[in-house]
Amino acid sequence: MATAQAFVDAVAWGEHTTVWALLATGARLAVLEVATRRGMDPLLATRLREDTAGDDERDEFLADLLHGLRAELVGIEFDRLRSSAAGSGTTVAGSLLVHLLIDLPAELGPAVPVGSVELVADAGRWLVVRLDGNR
Amino acid sequence: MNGDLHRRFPVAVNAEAMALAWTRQEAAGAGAVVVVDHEISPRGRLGRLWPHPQERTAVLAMVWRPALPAEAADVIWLAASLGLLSGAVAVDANELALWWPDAVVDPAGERVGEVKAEVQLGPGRVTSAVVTGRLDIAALGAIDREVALPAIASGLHAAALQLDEDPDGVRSTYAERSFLTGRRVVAHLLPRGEARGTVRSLDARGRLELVSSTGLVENVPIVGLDRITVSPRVV
Repeated sequence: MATAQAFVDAVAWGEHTTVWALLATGARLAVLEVATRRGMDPLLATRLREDTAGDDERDEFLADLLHGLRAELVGIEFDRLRSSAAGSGTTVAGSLLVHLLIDLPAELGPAVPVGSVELVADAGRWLVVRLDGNR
Repeated sequence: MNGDLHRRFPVAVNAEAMALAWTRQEAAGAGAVVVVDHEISPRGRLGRLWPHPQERTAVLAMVWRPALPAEAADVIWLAASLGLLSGAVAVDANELALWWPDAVVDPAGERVGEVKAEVQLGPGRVTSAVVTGRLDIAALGAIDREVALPAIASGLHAAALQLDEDPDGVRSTYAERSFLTGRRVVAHLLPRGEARGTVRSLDARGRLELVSSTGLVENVPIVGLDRITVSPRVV
């Protein structure tokens, strides 16, 4: 759950390299595939995948990625967000689903789910494979 | 003040409206000043109502004709803010600062003044601007309005000169006097969404530069801003 919180924090605060570092390999490939389908230079995609891209082109790509992730989480009050484990995920085998919740005043009922993060264990640490917002 | 460049109205919709009319209909010259003793609709950026009664408000609008390219039009907001700050500091000993893009604040970050810049653009350049400055004179130690008004006018005149001579200097001076510089903030955007980061400076277009801990820089334009809050988050 700490990874999910760190990932959402990194998205909120524009910590672009942290976001990339917290993405699982499969998620990175999926992001690059979507970007290529939308017109990104395949050679640039290769450089990003192999971590040989220049700082400027990497930053430009990650800034676009951040905007996309923020669009997924738009309207969420990040400072009130907490996370809660919610069982197994469905994107890849062995993944863990974490719900993103915002607490309400007691008289209004339980916390409201506003999104979810799916995590997978990779070389002894948790990485993000999927983010779903409230769109 | 020179009568040809100074008009005063006991009551009007607001000072900006009167100065805009003067500019459009009678080609008011640079430095023309409109003072309104009682504004019926005192509004600032985004049409937000000035919250204080007229008894505690000093307001004037001034016509500027800066030689600026259109893309740098928002630097006028910065210069106007510096001018109002200069006027406020001249009549109040408190340590005042700027809150991007339109406010003058006290040491606690409470708003004691605001500016509005209504910019008229021509082909590729700024043709004129009407800048309005308002001060909460009660918050500035109950100073006399007749003392505050010349101070504001003097501050705005000086700022207009600085803007003509050294627009880059306006940006750097603004950053030095900004309450927000170096602080972690949340910029609430229009129509929705937000940008977060540490305030570094202003860019050549007058946009706020937010930098993340990983070095990513995001520029927030005035037109896209709802409001800014300082984040309680500690690094």
